[in-house]
Amino acid sequence: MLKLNECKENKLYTILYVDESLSNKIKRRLYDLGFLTGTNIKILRESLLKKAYLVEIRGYTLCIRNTIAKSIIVK
Amino acid sequence: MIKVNLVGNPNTGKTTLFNSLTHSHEHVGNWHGVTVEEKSAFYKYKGKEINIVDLPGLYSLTALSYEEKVASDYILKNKNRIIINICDASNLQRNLFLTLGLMELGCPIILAVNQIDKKKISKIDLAGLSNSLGIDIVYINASNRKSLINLNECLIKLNEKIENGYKPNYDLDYIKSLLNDNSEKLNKFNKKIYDYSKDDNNLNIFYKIKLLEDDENIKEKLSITDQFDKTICVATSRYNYIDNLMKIYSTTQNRTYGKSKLDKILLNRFLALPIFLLFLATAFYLTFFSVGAFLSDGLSYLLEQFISQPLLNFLIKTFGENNWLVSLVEVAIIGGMGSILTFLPQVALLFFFLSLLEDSGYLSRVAFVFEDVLGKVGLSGKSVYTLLMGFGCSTTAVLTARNMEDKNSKIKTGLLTPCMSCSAKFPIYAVLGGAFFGANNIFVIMGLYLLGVVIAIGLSYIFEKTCLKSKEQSFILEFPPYRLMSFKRTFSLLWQNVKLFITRVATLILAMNIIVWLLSNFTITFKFIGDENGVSMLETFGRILSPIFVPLGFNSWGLISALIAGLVAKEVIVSSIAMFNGVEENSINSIQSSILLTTSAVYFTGASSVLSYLVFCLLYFPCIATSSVLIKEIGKKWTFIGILIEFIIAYLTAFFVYTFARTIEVFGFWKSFITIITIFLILLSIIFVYKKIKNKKICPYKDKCSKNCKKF
Repeated sequence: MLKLNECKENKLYTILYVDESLSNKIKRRLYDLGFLTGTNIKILRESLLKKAYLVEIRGYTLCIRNTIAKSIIVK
Repeated sequence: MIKVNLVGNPNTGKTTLFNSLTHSHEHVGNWHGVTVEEKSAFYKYKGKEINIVDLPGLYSLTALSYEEKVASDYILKNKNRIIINICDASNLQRNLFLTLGLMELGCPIILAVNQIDKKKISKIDLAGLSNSLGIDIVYINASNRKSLINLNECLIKLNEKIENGYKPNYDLDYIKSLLNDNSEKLNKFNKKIYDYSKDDNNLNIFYKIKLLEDDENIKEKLSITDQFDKTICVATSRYNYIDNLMKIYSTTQNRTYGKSKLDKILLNRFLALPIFLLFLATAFYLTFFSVGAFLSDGLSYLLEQFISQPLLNFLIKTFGENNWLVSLVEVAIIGGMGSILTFLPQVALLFFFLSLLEDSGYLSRVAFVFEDVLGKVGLSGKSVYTLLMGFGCSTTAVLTARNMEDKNSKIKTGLLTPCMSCSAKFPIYAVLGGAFFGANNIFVIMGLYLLGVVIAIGLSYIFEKTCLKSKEQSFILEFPPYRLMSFKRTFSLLWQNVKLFITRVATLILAMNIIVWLLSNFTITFKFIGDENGVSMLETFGRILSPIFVPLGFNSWGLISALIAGLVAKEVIVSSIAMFNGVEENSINSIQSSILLTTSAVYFTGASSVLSYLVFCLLYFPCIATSSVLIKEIGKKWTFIGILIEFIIAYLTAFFVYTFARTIEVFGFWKSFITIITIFLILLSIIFVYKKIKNKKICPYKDKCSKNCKKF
């Protein structure tokens, strides 16, 4: 069990849950985009200062900020 | 009349479809959230009139950013309009999530599956899916008009059905069990929900689901404060249903973007930034210097030969040399308008390059790279779009700030757009800078562009640290595929930009030139000056204000009057200067030589005052069009504060630039360089010492303290 921002690049993980530190609005958006328990997720790339992550989920690519990545717990 | 809404995820081709159906030319791009407000148009199919409304992209009916709120509010208010729900064939799964949301609301829906990415082999059993969902589904290619016949036929049929009393009644079993499980909690609000939904069963279910999702807008509307905390359950039941459907009906191989070879280079940790800067530099060089300048000179020659000269000769023949009309045409139209018209090729090219960035899909990659920097100053990678649009036109750029998810970030983004060098400011740089710096003007122009960006980012940082801290800015951005621009689109883009520019010059700028001409050729007592001596209205006004600008090195009234005229449109600064100096040709060279002469009405004392004037033009008030959009978008209070701050920054920066350049002019480069470095070092050491002393004051227990606080 670890946070998404601690994951290795190009390795497949499974989402466990999204933790409480995010506001309801952002959490809802993540659920809408399919960040649900059991969904597979992969980090494709990190930005230079690790402020942004490029992730692959449900067959599409998304940029997310590190504050969001920190709140996504995967295994 | 058939009323239709276009709804779909961001960047699935809604506006492309809208343009194809209605033969419009709305702005499209390969970027998330190009459309930020609803757009309506009419077209006819088989004698039926159809009203279609294009809406900003949505992921679900619960909005996060402002442009999404525009869309979701519109859908809720106009629930009975038919919905054309566009889906990206390569990402059906997530696109259907929104479709389910629309079905829960009970809208009549046609699902249009758009095949954007042609490489992808997607096999979707449309008939089966259509049966399961209970909605009509058609394949389209949004940019190809011929492929839209099916869609139109489908639309006509659905409309007939509705006219004959059909009401959509979808099978919502996937979510009903969830509603039943929570019925106890929900039943408390039955009366409140009924007040809004009346006998509409679908709306009733929709409100209940939104309550389970804790949708802030709906809860506020129904004045309910209870927490339900079932957002994840709602999303899970929708996605489970979709996953089941996908297993049965689709064999699409999803392909993600951001892994290609091109991306490996463009997104490389260390190469990304230099590559982007190189791209920008090349684009600017091509636009402003090589190709652009060549085309511009050619246009100037053609205008002079075939329009200005014959027109002038004709007027002099009919009215005589000293008529006021001749003077008006000579100065305001040929000198003023002509000098701006010669910038047409350059402005068209600039917009073309900006569209290229946007259309190719590179911009999303740039946003990812810039998130590091922009996230720190309280913006997000998405702001790159607004800032780049600001190079084109601030008025449209301010609107794109609706992409922001947080109110404070939206205000910030809106306020710093006017700092960018928009296309209207470029003629000022080219004409005034070119007169003094010649070929070196390229560095001056680059410097000014850079200064704009640096000040914008600095300003945002200050706002972030003081009064406009961003709270919910999240930066969630979908990556689009790379796309090549077709020839057809390239030409239509260039043509659109040319048309826009000519319209602007022929209306706004012409009108402003005539006003400036009138004000500068009539005295306060409304007497025509002509060749006699007299003080014009503008001159009086300029002279009153001129003491304020003495520290900036602006020495003639004309420069200040031009700034005032430039509030309407920044290009007018150039044409006003041409008019004050009585330039009678449309060539840039004659304006440039006129400002070098000390006998002219408007002249510069030296390079330092030109530099300070250019910096001031870059940063002072936004034009009237931008200000009015700002008021609409971020409110009067913030617009007023922003404009005031920008004026102060413009004044201070221009003052520093002037003082700095003047020192170099007077004392020589090395002497001033050493002096400035010394002053800088002294200041630094003072700050350093001050900080040390301050730190000691704050923490007297530093040595005894067991906690390892990182502050010290």
